Amino acid sequence: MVAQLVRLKLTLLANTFRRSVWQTIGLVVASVYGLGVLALAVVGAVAGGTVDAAVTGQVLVVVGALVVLAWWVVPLFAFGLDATLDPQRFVTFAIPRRQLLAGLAAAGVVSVPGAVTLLGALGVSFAWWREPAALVAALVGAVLAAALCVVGSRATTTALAPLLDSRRYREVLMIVAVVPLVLVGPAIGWLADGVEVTVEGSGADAVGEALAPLSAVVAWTPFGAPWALGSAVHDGAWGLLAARLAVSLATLALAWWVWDRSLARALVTPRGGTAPRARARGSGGSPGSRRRPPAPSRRAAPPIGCATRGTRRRSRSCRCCPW
Amino acid sequence: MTDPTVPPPAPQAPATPPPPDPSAALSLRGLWKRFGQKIAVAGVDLDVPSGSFFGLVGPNGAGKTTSLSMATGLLRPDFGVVQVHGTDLWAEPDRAKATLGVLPDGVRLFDRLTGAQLLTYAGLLRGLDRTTVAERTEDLLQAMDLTGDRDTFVVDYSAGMTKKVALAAAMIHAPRVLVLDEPFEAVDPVSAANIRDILSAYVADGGTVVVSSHVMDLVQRMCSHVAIIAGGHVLAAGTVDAVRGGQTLEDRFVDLVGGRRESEGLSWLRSSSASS
Repeated sequence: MVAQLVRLKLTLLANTFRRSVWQTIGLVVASVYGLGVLALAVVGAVAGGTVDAAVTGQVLVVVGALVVLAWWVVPLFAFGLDATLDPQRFVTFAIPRRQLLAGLAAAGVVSVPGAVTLLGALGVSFAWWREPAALVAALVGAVLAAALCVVGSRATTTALAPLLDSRRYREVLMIVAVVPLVLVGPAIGWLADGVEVTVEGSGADAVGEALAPLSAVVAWTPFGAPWALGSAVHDGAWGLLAARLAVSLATLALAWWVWDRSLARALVTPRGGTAPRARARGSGGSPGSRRRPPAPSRRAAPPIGCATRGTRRRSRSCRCCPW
Repeated sequence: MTDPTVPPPAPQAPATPPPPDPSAALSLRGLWKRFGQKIAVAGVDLDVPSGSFFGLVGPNGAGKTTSLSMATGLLRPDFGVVQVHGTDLWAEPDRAKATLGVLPDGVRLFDRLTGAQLLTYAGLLRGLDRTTVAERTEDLLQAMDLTGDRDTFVVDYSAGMTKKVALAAAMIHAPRVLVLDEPFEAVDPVSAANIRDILSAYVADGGTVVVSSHVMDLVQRMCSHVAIIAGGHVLAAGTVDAVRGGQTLEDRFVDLVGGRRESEGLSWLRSSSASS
């Protein structure tokens, strides 16, 4: 079943080449951009690792944590980015849920962001190329981090899908999600200070000083823990390694469980059933859907993403961007 | 569930429904579903005999789609039991659903696949092997008259073609029970006749078909059994002849459901009385 779903995803991806020139161009641009980011990240990490592995490790923890956070939060606003394997399309096939879950997880990596994240995570692990033990730990961490990205994003979108169908919660959620975006500013300022110190001060040590407290905190969060396995080995802190591994695995298990539960519910709750979203079609459909008209449009503009949930169902061209 | 001490309100409804019938293709007992304030389905008991061509008729909002969704595992009922050939659907969903073919109303398909690809993946996701899937895909495309559009994307299909390809996808794993919500909606008369032939042959070979429809005439001609459902209740069920009892099914339906207006109504609509 995992193989079938991955093949299905690839077929859908290949079909976009046949169907739309613009989607093809978009896919090519996204791929080129992704490869560029990938190359830059890997070269930077390896070069940094050669000069000062410890500081590079701290940078990787912070940047990696931001990547995971982005995976979890961005799809809430741009769900249309990957609606190709919408669980609602599987309801009639009666696929046992565990197999469906495993297949969807594997297929989640088959996309430009998925592939870039996995390859990038594996690539930047080679910052530890001088220390084989740390390299192995970093590679394990990379796989965990990529899994956390894919599973976590599915968990948040599937779990919150009923809320996202209701306008009131969408607005609350949007405010909640703006908080990390607001924090990006100070974080960049902090990093910029660090870089300034580097330029003026004594190089890598100063960056380390500026980053050390931040990365020390971030490495304990579910987002940063898998990225910090390499540096734990580098420091010879085996207890720390075990703790960070535990945080990563526990987060992954929790995200998997949340996804499993919410998928089970989503599969027996057609949209428009309990959520007050009217179905476009459907004679004699679920009467609950008639209580409120579909949200005409959102009052506030979405901060990120081209396709929001509101517009996705109306514009076919935007509904199924393949990446 | 009616209280056992209270006499049954209608002669055909026993005070306590019998346990689910394991010999029936589909056996529903005490199905309830509430959406917010509105009770969509209020205690539906229904037996679909194995090998029957079963029609489910009712006015808009009667609870047909909701009942069928709960009977096929697409919507979890608040209360009630569903058995598919004796297997409890909500207790053993994987086993029960394997014998079911479902065409929901407004189904979301993988419309970025071509017709042939959609059928192929429908078979593969159902766990069939590749050669079987290839064979059946060709057969179904031919039966549905879609061979010429096999390489067209489903998103570019007309409403009727989409219905046909969705029906084919529901049949590819040779289910024992086919549950089709409004299968003839938007389908042209020739295709509808072809689909009717396919379904009749399927029933003749021992399969069971459940269709919901608004078209009484079609149900009367096509189905062996019928249930009339309104306001979330089953008003009458049985063979078509028993239910209609000498009347046409349409007259019987109007008798049971009511709602026919004898008044003139909408007098302003008549062109003769156009405002001066």
